[in-house]
Amino acid sequence: MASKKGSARAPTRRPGIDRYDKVLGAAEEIILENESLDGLTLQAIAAKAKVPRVSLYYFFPSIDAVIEALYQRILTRLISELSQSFTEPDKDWKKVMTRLMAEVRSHYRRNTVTTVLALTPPSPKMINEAHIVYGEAVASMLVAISGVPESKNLRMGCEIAAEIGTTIFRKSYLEEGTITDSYFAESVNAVIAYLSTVIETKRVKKRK
Amino acid sequence: MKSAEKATRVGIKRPGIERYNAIIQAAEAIIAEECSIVGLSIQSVACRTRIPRVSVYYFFPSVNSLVETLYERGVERMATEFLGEPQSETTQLWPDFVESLMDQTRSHYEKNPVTMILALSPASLALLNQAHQHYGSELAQTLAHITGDPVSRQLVRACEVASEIADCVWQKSFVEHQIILPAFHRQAKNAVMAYLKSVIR
Repeated sequence: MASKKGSARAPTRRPGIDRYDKVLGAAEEIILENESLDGLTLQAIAAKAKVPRVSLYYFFPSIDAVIEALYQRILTRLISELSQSFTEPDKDWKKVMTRLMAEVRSHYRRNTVTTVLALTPPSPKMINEAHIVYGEAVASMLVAISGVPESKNLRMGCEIAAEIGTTIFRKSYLEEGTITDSYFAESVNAVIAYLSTVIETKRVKKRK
Repeated sequence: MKSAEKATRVGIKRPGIERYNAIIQAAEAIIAEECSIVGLSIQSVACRTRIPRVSVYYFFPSVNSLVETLYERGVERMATEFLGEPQSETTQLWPDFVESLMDQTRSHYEKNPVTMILALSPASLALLNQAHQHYGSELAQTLAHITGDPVSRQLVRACEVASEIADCVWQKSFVEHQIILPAFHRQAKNAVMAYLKSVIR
């Protein structure tokens, strides 16, 4: 959709890393202030980060490159938080999934930037890629924690489940400005109903 | 969120109606050719239709209002095509009905990629939400008719959610493969049926 001018260039040396982080930090602040991506421009970021525009362009050829880097940041944050709170094995994958979704919801509540990026995405491509990464993480958690057999179907199923969960969260966010309890329940319900068709059909086939 | 644009004007008199329709057609053609709405602008529509820009602005104060109109037309077309009047003599069970509805919708998307592309544009998020509400309530009427149950708020909401679920799986396929692959369509059906079965008892 949006024109591609290439991705962000990651810094390697200390001053570069500091600047890079400063830029992304400033971008997050702007999103936080507006509670939307509307005012996010390279110009605004340069002003906020007090970084000359030229060096901003050095790292980020376009605003899309900034947003892409932000997606990576928020995903890493979310996934590492989730994997820290899920260490105990639990055979009941439905219970694990419900807890996982509750964690995501509370993570959204604490991280407005994540909420804005995930629920009002600037481009279908970026959110699609984020869901693929996230879906894979969820699949490996289900394998590690609940002993669900690993498979391509499971990974795909988790990607789709992530889309479904987000879609219903988004519906709630657009209509109510927050993820309400009742939409949260619908979301859990839909994700588990769908994942059952992925996880449990497979077991039936195996027995045959 | 983008603030709501001024509502569009509709042509009333004959030359107005013709111009209006020409603009809509040109916009749809631009989207279909580029498989994206990036190239859609008041300028590009004016160029293509050879209608002066001022006149395009007369009907559509901004490109967003044009997108909005296109999207509403697409949704309206779909809703009337599939859900128009419930067949009074239907003996179908609701799960069969929903499955065939999904098959029809998929082939509608295949024939009208513009609707799908519009649905994917971020400018449409709020519109999309309304579209699903509209579609969901129509679907709830039809399902209530089939099952003989009353239209409850819960059913309407479940249908809205189901409609969102189907779309998000189809969109995933569309974003990744530019078409709705059979494998994704199967997953969309699984997801919708599993969800609806957990709601409708």
